[in-house]
Amino acid sequence: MIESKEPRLTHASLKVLRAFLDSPRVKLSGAEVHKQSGVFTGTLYPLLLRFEKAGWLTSKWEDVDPKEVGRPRRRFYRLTPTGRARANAALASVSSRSGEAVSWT
Amino acid sequence: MDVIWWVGAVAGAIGINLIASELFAWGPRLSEWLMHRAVRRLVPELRDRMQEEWAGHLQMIPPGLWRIVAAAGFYLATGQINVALRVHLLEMWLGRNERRIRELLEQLGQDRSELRDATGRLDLELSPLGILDGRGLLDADEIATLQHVQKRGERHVQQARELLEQIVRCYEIEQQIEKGRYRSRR
Repeated sequence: MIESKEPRLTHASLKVLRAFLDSPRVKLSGAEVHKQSGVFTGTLYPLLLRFEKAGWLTSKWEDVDPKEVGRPRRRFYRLTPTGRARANAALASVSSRSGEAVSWT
Repeated sequence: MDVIWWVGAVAGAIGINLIASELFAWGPRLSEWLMHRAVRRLVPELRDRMQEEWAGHLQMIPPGLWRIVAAAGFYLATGQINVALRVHLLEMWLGRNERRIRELLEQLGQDRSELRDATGRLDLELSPLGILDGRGLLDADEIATLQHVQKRGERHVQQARELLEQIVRCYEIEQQIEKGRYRSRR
């Protein structure tokens, strides 16, 4: 079976994954990920899309009527169980290589 | 000197303030314009989604320079997003057509095997004429095989051309002999 390629883990992509793992909220909008990770929007959205296509993230529109709330709907991203496991593994690997004793829960 | 420095500093401060207020005033328009330009550069499958998502993102940033920077980021992101989506679509297509691709590859393997057999037979038939010299064709990898076939093909074409010239020359001599006009060059 030809499987979807794993996303390449760069410094920016690790920061995005860390933002999800560190956040007390399960789902985050693109703007919130941008704010928490500090990753530039030009890098952030391609990363979110790659993670989503690789099955690490899922995304869903918020359940509101834009006319009622007077603003555009937000799209929320959340880690899938696979994504959470891979993100933990990737960040643990980076931590062990850099000698940090950090646990990403 | 001090006076010039102070005048310059005040003028600079006023200039920066003017630019900042202009950016603040034009920020929302400029950022929206950049976002729309970015959306237009996207592949059609993603336009509606990103239009709404990015509008929501910009709405969360106060008007000003950072909103423009975020919108510029959207514009810069479009190339990578398009590539990511196309790669994903290609992978999906490969996944759906994997069986057919494998069948074609298997068929190609059989064709190569048949071609090798045919080439071997051709070699055996024509080697007494000294035209062909190839052995072990198609045993190398794909590219090397293709290069080999190409080189060999060119050599064969050259050999065939030379042979044809000899045949034509023989035919001409035969004609001249028949007409009694032949004179040896020796």
